[in-house]
This record gives sequence, structure tokens and C-alpha cells, in this order.
Amino acid sequence: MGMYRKEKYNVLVVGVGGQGILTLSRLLAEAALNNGYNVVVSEIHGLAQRGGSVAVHVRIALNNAPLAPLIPRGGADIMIALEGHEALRYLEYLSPQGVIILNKRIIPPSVPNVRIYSIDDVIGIINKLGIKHYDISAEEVALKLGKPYVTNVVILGFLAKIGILPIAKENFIKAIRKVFSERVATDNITAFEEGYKYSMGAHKASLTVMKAQ
Amino acid sequence: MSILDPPGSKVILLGNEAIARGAIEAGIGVATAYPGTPSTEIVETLASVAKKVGFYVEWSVNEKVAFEVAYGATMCGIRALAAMKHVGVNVAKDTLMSSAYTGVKGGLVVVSADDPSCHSSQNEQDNRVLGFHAYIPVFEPYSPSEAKELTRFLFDFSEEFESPVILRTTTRVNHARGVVELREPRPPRVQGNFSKEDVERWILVPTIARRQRKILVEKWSRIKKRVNELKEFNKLYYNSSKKTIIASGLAYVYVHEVLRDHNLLDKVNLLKLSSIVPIPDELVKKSVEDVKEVLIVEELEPVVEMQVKSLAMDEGWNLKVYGKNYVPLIGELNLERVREAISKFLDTPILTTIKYKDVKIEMPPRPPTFCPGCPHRATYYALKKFIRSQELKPIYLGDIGCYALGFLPPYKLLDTCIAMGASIGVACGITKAVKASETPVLALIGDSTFYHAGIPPLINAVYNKSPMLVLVFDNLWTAMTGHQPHPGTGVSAVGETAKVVPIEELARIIGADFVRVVGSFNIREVEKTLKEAIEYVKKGGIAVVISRGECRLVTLRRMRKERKRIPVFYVDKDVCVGCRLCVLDFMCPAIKIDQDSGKAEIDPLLCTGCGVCVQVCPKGAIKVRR
Repeated sequence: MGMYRKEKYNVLVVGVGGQGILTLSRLLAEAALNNGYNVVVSEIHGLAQRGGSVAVHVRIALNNAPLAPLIPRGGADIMIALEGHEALRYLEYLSPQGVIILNKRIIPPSVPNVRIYSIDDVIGIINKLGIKHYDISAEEVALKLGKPYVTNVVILGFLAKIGILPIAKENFIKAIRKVFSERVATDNITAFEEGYKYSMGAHKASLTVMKAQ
Repeated sequence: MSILDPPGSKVILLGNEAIARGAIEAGIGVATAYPGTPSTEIVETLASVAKKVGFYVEWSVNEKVAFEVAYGATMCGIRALAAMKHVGVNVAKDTLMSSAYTGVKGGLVVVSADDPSCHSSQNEQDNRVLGFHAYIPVFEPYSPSEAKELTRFLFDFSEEFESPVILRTTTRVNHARGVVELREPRPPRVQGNFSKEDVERWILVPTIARRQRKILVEKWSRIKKRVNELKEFNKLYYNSSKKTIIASGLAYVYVHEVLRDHNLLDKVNLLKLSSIVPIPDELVKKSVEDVKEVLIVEELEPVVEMQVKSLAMDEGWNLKVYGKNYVPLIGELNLERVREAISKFLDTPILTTIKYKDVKIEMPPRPPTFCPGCPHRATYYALKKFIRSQELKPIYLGDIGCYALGFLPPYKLLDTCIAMGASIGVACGITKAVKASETPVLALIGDSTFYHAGIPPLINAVYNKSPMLVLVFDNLWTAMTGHQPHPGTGVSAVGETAKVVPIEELARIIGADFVRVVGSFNIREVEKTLKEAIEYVKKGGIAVVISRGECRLVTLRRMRKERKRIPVFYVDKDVCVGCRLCVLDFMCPAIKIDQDSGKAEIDPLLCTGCGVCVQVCPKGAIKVRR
């Protein structure tokens, strides 16, 4: 891929329970394995999942040394945020050179009398902090396909496209085929391709960002 | 399905799937569990392949029964696994303690899935401690891969010593996905026999128990020797340094990564342990040869630390042992915490210089909440409305399950949440201290929890005249752990039709004065029934109201599968007056207030079409989309 390769990559996937965060993380892990890497994913199930804030830690290593399950604060190379508030909530996990892939979606917490951030507020804060970010309206894409539940895989396609992880596209597709049944896989591959084609528009950030480290 | 991929495959498995695979590779015949985070997927995975591979799996009614079923099978020479969360082991412990005395025949592995940091639990008890108490050896893996290998091995180990074995895991192994290499499974051993030859060992009357105790202690000293030989799981990386780090179970990955990241692997000896109780004393001895200081890195209690200190005392070593003075006693470990501990121990300050974005943004909390369409939300809404209308000031005894979220706004209807079944038991005590006519006592308990531990305290309430209203939140599944069937569901673990044991029949036969089943999604009916029920309680009786409505997630899944249309509701903005009742009192995540108009709106992506909000809106503004 002609880019500088780190020894390990830390990807934090955040959002709201029910957005398909576990599935997205699992697909990413399978794709990394298909690419010949070592990988560990840390999830939280049960009560914490019911519409609450969810963060899944995905760690990919290009060697076989034991990998701790959790990313330390300041250690995430990439944050995939499926929701705006959750992007801000976990910012301390982002490394100083870290990149955010932001799904332009706001889900207000079911708590009375709290400040709700708009997606523009979120982007404003991220810009102010000088963090590189890629923004995507993945729901729109999924809704156009008539399948709102493939939003997470649209984002995965987008991740594959921008090439900030050294994982080949066909290994993502292979992962989708492995994880889903045939019928569901077809829908998801379509979603992945739509994400892969997604045009970033105004927020296009530098692709050289990972080389800086 | 990765778990049945051919031997030699390298696949990604959840820690719990890896344990299931280990059990399959060991040729188990019986697997049992009561669901509990973070243990659930072990038996869930086994259930999904049980018919194909050919062994028996069940969801037992509680952990004690789960353990007994597995134990009974091992008496007949079958290999069996019982999985439970850490607090579930408390429920199983009575029989578990005896099983060490009798020993087992077929290999018996008990998985204790502990939850440091209480991600999904009421406490963070460290079940490694059980090893000392029960004389049952405890092992802990550091990764999904080792969890698989250990599970496979422990069945052999259990049979070698005729002893049950505890495989202790934590959330970060159970719910971590990692790369696992599959090996050839043994054919499942499903047919056993109960031998009457040495039948005395199973009869723990005092005379025999005293004999078995001697056998147990002698067995323990053999186990202590044997764990020194487990080179695959206990590894010493010795490089003649003057300091040694001993890492227990999962702590090994944190220690290794910190040392590797900072080029310190050759500056300190490292002993990785998976035999936790008892520790391999000969190996520990080797690890501290010519060493003045040792650091024990382990989560929660100083289980290894105490053993090392005791060994140092016995052997008269001049050794400084660091442990819980550097490594936190509370909460799970992570790279930062271990980095700090190692930095102190090695006196290497460079280890703590990693910076992270120090951003102080006031973020609204996002606690877990009832899902859109949850029957419990409707029941709580009706309950709260009823309480207000009657101007009652009840005491609410809560229990373990999704419905425990009733402690959060806007319901705030729980005064306790203690342990499985404790709602009814504790309610019995409260009724002896307060007057039911003035302060009615309400026990709020789920369906699965009722079967698990609610029946004996209900019998107690009837027998000992403890007036109360038992409100059963019945969503027909053990929902919080991901929808496992239970005795009220009508389905077995492997998807076969099962007999239903109706809660209402149980309540009637136990002798409750008022028993009624009501549909959760009908607010007026729930309210009306509660009103009737409370009159019995005021007069010193026991009322059991079962609010029954299937978990919406299951209903939705079925509707999607059957390609049925799921209705979606919307707010007619011409009718909505912006009173916000639907948001403030009902608080369905699918309903929010449009900032511009101040009126309610329903997110069609989140709405699950339960229609309860239609009953909530006083203006009739919520309508179904045609």
C-alpha cells in the first residue's frame, strides 16, 4: 500500500448500543486476520449494551506478540464514531496523531434536561482541537439502499477506501462473507461498496496523516 | 460457523466461543449453565452446535442446578462443563463444596466468569479465592487462545485427580475476540454408567465426610506438585535480572506489552502463571533465584501475592514482595495501570510519559435504557401512574434483570437491587418492620429471576404471612443476557418444544391470595389490576401480578423473519400541544422533542411499533403510519 507501517494499530469503535458496533468491529477483526495479522477485540455485553454508550477496542498487530485487550488513553490511531456525542465522549482515547471517522448522526441520550450537541457542534469541537477527521452520512446511504441496518457496513467500506489501515479491500469482502449468511452477505457487500464509493466532499482530510508518526 | 471449522484452521473466536471449542475438543458429553454476563456465550455456543456434534446442553433453572446436572453426569464418567458468572458460583457453592469431597469421575470444569469493574454485575468478587476455600484447583487464561487450550487440558487434569476444576476468566477474556487455532476434537463421550462399587464416596454423612476430607487434603498436595509440570501454561522467562515480575492470568498480556513497548523484556525476569491456586511453588522458587525484589501483577485480590509471601516465609527467602501496594485492588487492570506499577517497581519514570488529548467537554450521560418497545417501560409507566393516583408511598424491592433499570429516571422506582431473588426475600423482612396498610411493600422481579430464586422466598412469604405485592416483569425470555429460553418460554436450549411451567400456576399453588396475568402493553389494564391487587395487600394478603409481554427485540426478530410489516408511529404536529409528557414520563428513546417547534417527533429508525405511546398521549396526537 506504499505507506509507513506501524507495528500495531489501535481502532476504537464507539456509538450507541444497537447501532451495529459489535458487528462492525468483528468484521474489521476478520479482515485483519484475512490480511495475516494478529488481532484482539474487546467488547462489553449485557446490561451496559441496552441503548447505552458503547466502545469496542480493536487492536491489530503485524507481529505475534501478546496483545492486551484494551487500548490505553491516548493510544487510538483511529476512532470510528457512529454517533456524535460518543465521538466526543471518548476523545481522550485518541492519540495526538489520531484520526476520526465520524458518522454524521446524532442520537439524543434519553436523559431529561441535558445539553444535546448538533452534528455541527461536534464537528466544530473536533476542528478546534485540530483533529483530522473524515465525515460520512452513512445512514443516508443505507436508507437509499432501503436497509437502515447496514449503516455500519457502509462505514466499513468507507474505512477500507481511505486506506488508513493496511488491509486489502478483498479481505474486508471475505470477512463479510464469513460472518453473514449468504443472503445477508449480499446486502452487506452492496453496502460496503457504497461506502467504498462514498465521496467525502468538503471535509476531505489528508491521507498522509498516518505517515506523520 | 468458525467454531466447527476444520482442525488446523486459524479463526477469530470470542473468548467464550473458544472455551466452548475447548470443551468440544475435549469430548464433553454434557454442558449446562444459567445465563449470566460475561459467561453466557459459552453454553449458547455449545447449544448452537449440540445436535450436530452430538452432546447434551441445557439452560438450567439456576447455577446450583446447572452445577448439579454437570456433576451428576460426571459421576457416570461423562465429561461435563458448567458455566456461570462469578455471583452465580455463590448460588452453586453448596454443592460445589461437597463435590471436592466426593471428587468426580468424568472431567468436570466449572467456568467462573468474573467481572472486575462490575461492567454487568452487582459486585466484583474474585473467585480465585474459592480455590483455598473449596480445595478446587483454579486456572486462569490470558487470552481466548489460551482459554481454549486450558479448557481442553483441564478435562484431562480433572480426571487425573478426580477433582472438579475451576476455570476462572474475566470479562476481558470472555468478551475478547482473538485468533485461535483449532485442533482435532475427540468424539463426545455421551454414554456413561453409574457404578455402585465405590458408592460410599458420594454419601457425605459425617463418618464418610471425615474420611473424604483426608483424601481431599492428600489429593491437594499431589495437585500442588503436579502444577509445576504444566510448562505449556506456566512459563518462566529468566534472564538473571535482579528483579522478577509474576503475572497472573490476564495480567500477563498487560505486563508483556508494557515491557515490550519499552524494551524492558531483558531487564526483568517474567513468570507467567495460569495455575493460580495452587501456584507452582518450584517454578516460583526458580523465578526468584538471586532476586531481591518481586512484583506480583494480578487483578483484584492478592491471591498469588499471599501465596508467594507465604512461600517466602516458609523458605526463609530474603525477598521483598510488591503487589497490591503498586497494583490497584479495585477495578480491572489496563495498560496504563500496569505501566504505572511497573514504572514504580523498576524505578523507570519514562514509562508514564504518554500524552492523551486532555479535553474537558461536558458530555450528557448515556446510561443504558429500556429499548424502544420494551414491555418493562410500559409496566413501569402504568405502575407509576397507579402509585400517583393512589397517593401511595410503597417500598420497592428490586431484583436482577433488565427491569433493574427502573431505578433510573423517569421512573426512579427501585429502593433496592441486591441479588437474584432477593426482592421477595428482603421484602419479607421489610414487612416485619413496617405496616403494610401504610407502607405497602412491592417486590419487582423478572420471569427468569422468579424461576431462578423467587419461588422459595414466595413460599416463605405465604407461610410466614408477609403481605406484599409481587409484580413479575414477564417478557418470556432471559432477555438481558441475549434471550435464552427458560421454563416459561416453551423452548429448550437446542430449540425443541418444552413444557411450560406457568408462573401464575406456581403462585396459585403456593397460596398467594390474588394472582392475575395482565398484558404489559395495555397500560389501563395493568393499572386496573394493580389497583385490585393492592387491596389484598392492605388487608395483609399476598398478591402476585404477572405483567406479561414478550421482549420486543424477540418479537421484532420474528416479524422480520416472517417478513411481517412492523408498524411505525408518528406524531401529528397539528394535534400535539408540546406538553412533553411522552418524553418526560414515558421516555421512549424513539420519541424526542423537535427543538424548533417544541413538539414531539418519533424517529422512524428507532420506533419498533409497540404503540404504547398512543395510550400515553393525552391529546391523541400519536398515530400509526398507513
